[in-house]
Parts: sequence; C-alpha cells; structure tokens
Amino acid sequence: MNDVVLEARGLTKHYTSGHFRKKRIVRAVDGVDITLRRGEVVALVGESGSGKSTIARLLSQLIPRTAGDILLDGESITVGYGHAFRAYTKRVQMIFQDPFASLNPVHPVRHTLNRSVSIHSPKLSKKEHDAAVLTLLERVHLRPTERYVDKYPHELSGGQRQRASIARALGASPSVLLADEPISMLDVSIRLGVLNLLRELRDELRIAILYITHDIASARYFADRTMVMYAGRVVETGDSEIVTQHPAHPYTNLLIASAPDPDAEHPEGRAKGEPPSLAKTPTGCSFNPRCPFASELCRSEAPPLLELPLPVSVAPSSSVGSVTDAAAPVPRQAACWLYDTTGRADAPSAPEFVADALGVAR
Amino acid sequence: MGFIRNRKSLTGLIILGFFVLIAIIGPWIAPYDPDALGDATLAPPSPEHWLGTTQVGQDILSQLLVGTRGVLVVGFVSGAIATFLAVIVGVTAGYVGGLTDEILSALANIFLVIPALPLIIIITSQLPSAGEFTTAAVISITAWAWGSRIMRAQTLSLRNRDFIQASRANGESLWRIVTVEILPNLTAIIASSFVGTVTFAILSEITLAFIGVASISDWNWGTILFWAQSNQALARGAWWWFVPAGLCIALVGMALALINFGIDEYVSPRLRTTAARSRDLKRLGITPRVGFTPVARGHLAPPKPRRRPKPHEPVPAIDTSFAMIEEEANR
Repeated sequence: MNDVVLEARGLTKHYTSGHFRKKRIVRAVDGVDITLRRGEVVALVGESGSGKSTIARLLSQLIPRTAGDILLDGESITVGYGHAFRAYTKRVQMIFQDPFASLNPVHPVRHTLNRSVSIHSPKLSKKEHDAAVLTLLERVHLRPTERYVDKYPHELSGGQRQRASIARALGASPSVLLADEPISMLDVSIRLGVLNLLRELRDELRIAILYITHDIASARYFADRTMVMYAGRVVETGDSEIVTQHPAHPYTNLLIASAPDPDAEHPEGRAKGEPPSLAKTPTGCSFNPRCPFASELCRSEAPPLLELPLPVSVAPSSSVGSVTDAAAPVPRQAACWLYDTTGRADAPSAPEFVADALGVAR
Repeated sequence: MGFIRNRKSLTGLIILGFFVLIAIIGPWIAPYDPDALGDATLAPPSPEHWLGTTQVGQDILSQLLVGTRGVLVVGFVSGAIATFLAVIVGVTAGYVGGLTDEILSALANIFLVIPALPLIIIITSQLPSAGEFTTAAVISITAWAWGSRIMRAQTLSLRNRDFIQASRANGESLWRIVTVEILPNLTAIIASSFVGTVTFAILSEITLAFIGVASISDWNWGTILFWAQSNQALARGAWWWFVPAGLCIALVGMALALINFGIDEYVSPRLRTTAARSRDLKRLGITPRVGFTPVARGHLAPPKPRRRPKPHEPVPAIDTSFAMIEEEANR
C-alpha cells in the first residue's frame, strides 16, 4: 500500500529531570512505530501518562524527538522553526484536547480562521479569502456561518469550539490530522457529533487521522486500526474490531474489562495496581508487576512486538465504512511473551487466555 | 466600555485629566512669572495672590501652574520608557526561555535590588545638567525591573496555554504569536504596570527636587517644597507655601491609584461583579457585607436591567440581575 502519508519509526522521547547525582530519565515514549495512511483512522489508546499526547506533539514536531525517525511521504523530516516548520504544518495539523483553552479568548473565530487561511494560502484575493473562511465553517457544520464567524470563544459551547478548532486545522488543507483526545472534554451528548464529523473528513477529504483517546469503545466505533499503549510503548496493534473484541495482550484485556459493565460476573477484575513511574520502569515487560500471567522471563526481558495470527472467528477488516483495502488484512501484533513460538522454557503460559484471544475453539 | 463606566476609574481619569489640562495651559494662565520677585513677601492668600507669596514675593499659584508640566512630563515619559523596557525584557524572557531567560531575569533581579533613589541621586548629581528628560531617563532605567518580572511570569503562563501551542501548530510565526496572540492578553497588566510606574516616577522626581538634587531652576511641585522647607515655612506658619503643592501630589497619586483599581476591576471578573453587585444590593436597600453571599430566590420579579449587553461585549461571569436577595452565610 503506498497510501502511507506519515510514518514514525522507533519514535522516542526522553525527558531528564533533576540535576547531577539525582538526574533521572523519564521515558515518555520509547521506540514507537506508527503508520498513518490516507483515508484511515488509527486510534492510540492508553491510560493517562502512557505517552499518547507526547506522540501527538512529536508527530506535529512541536517538541523535538530524542531518537527515531519521522517520515512524511517516505522522506525523513525534521523541522525546527521558520519556513520548514510552516511547510510541515501545511501537511500535518493538530487538534487539541481542551476546546476551552485552544482558542485565544481575545480574538473572534474569524481571526483564528483568517490566520489559518492566510498562513497556508497567502495568495488568495480578499474575496476568495473570506469565502474560504466561510467554507471552513460550513465544512465543520457551524451553520449559519455568518452567525458563528464573529463570535468570541466564550460565546460558543464546547462542541462548537471544538468544531472551530477543527476548522482552523482544516484551513491548512492537511493530509494528516493529529487529534489529541478531541472529545474527552466534551459533553457526552455531543461527542458522537464530533466523531462523525472527523469520520466525514476521513471519507470525503481522505485525511489520515491519528485519534488519541483513553476510551477504547470510541476507538472501536471510529478507528480502522487501534494501537494500545502502556508506559510509553505499544503493547498491541491490529484491526480495531479484533483488538477490542479479542484482546491479545493482558493489558488490553484489563483496559476493556475496566469499562463498567452492569452485567459483569467478576466485578473485581483480573489485574490490579498502578501504571509504573516512567522514570523507573520495571525491568522486562513494563506490565509485569500487574500481569496475572507474568513469569520469570517477563521480569527479565522485554518482549518484542510479535506477529499474531488473525482470529479464525473474525473476518478481517470488518470495520464499517473503512476504505482500507480488504484484500490486505491489518497485521496483528502484541508485545507479550504469551505468543512466543520459540518455545522458551521460562515463558509464561495461559492457554485459555491465548485461545480466547486467537479465537480458537477449545 | 466598562472601564470608563467604572466609578473609580472615572473619578481617577477626571482628576488626572484636570492636571493634564493644567500641564498644557498652565504657563499661559499663570498670573505672574514664577521667578519674578514681588513687593508682598510671605503674604497669605489674597485677591492679588490667590495662594499667597514666598518670602521673596514670588506668586505660589504661578509656581504651581508652571510646575505641573514638569511633574507630568517626567512621570509619563519615564512611565512609558520603563513599561516599554519591561515588556521587551519580560516577554522575551518569558517566551524564549532557556539561557536568554536566565540572563534577562538576572539582569532584572540586579536592577530590582539596586536601591533606586540613591542610584538616581548619584547619577543625577554626576550629570552636568539634570534636566527633565535626564531625570526621566534615570528614573525609567531603575523602574522597569518589577514590571518585567510580572510580564515574564504572565508570558510564561500564557506560552504553555493550548491556544498558543495551537497557533504554533498551525504554523504561525514567532513574531505574530508574541504580538497578536500574547500581547493582547497582557494589555491590562501592561496598563496597570504603566500607571504604577508613573506614580513611582512622579514621587521620585518630586523627592529629587525636594532634596535639591534636581536642578532648582526648573519649577515643579518638589521645587516649591524645597524652597518652603529651606525657608522654614512651617515654623513661620506659612501654610499656603507647602499645603497646595502637597495636595496636588496627593491628588495625582490618588487619581493614578483609582485608575489602577479600575483596571484591576475591569480585568478580574470577580472584582467587577462584586462591585456591580454591591451597587445593585444598595439599590435594593441591602448593605453588602464581606464574607456573605447574597442568594437569588426566584419568586420575585427581577429589577429592570440597567442596559442590555451589546453583542460584542464580554458577558460578566456572574449574572448581576437578581431576583429576591437574601444574605446567607458563605463560610
């Protein structure tokens, strides 16, 4: 598939905290690979502090990366300031989490959109420029546009503000949209509207969208592929439907089990504990202190992302409205020693769980 | 504009406007030459000399009228220079950060701990002619540091707000982010810092003239006080020599302080609504008390709103039109 727009390889961000002897390295993001394709939504799921937002800021190049590579249209790209950065933002735009903070309170919506249009299409005439601004509002369904264009942010509701900031991002006509928890600050009743708007942008403008969320159910609803993060690393990736319905990694399983379920038979859940401090990650698999299946191997050696067979009971790429090529199923990977096929003696073993994940009839 | 309607700032602006007018037309309406010696020495106020005379027969009213210009010019010029420096240094330090921030902050801290008045005295006494603009320049280089620390802190907090990050992510240039996105959010702080510096500059200038450091050939209120002091006006009961000048200083200081209160109330919605609310309460015959929150009870018709908010105007955070109001313990 040569639809790949933005790709990250081994993306790493380390922060140092403290000085001299007390110096510690915080591994916010550690060796993450992401591929964003035209017209496809990739969800990045994980709990707070797992490095999701850092990835969005790294991909938008708002903060420099420690290691790894970012490829735009297959070419490695690093931009700092000035023209290169501006050219990069024309391709890659970002939507922020908090719509109450992401619009300047002293300027009306018109100013925000004017700037976006003048930055990215500086050669328009005055008339074309104004038309472009109204088209942006139309695009995000803020109609009638004349009513919204002169409003100040405090005169708009959360959903309207988020739409305005999506309109600002669209002013660049980007190929990639990095949406950092775009609905988590919104009222439950208007979340779906914003998600449907993003889906529309994916289908009509064929924008590649990275959808960052902690809500795995919305990932299933909205995303074609889902990546699950834990403590700065990707622990599982695959088709959204398969990841959410047949979680292969014990952490994904915990994440799904933690959703409140009125019919739950085992309300106590299977794994407990807190995510580790990113400055002092445990040796081996960072999930091992909380994992019910952890063995000696898990405590000593970090598992690589292992290729998994697709569950037999699930048809590949079943996500509704997906435009990805159904002939090439999304690869499914999990960073867990449970799926090690080399037959190491100290590998963990949980046949029931594995059988469930792989959809094998027992 | 809400700021003008605010009673405190309105009072301040009227008083200040009066003195600005005097500063402009003072030398023309002064009845005598302030330096001219007269026959009536140390005379109390009379129809010829409304504010009396000095011991060499100079007319004090003329001295006051002529001296107003020097006071206000030095105040506003040094206020403008110091605020300009404060904005440049503070916003740069806050936005750029890193080593630049360390250096600029260290510079501001050094200027902050230098005792301003002794430094001004040393510099002005070393200069051959300490005219108005020299005084203004010297005052402004000692007065910018405090403002710059406030600007830096505020910029630091603004820089990491999402809307600034969003502007960056949208490809906005650094220059525009600072001037169009950050500075409008600092307007009120800049204004209040300016007014505060003007107050400081006026008081410093008068102090300099009073202790005789500044040139005594230029008239200002401090010069009047200097001559009154050196001729023992107080001991001789010549109150008309020093009371008017002192009153003028107090009035200008009060006007500037009132303007600053007005800015504070305009900026902080909390203070703004508290003030507006206490007016509404007084109209309903309730004395507002600190620590008690009036609670709206919805079974009586609300009083008629004084005006409709215009569509562009920010709506106050708390609705000030009340139904029946009762006082209730807040804490």
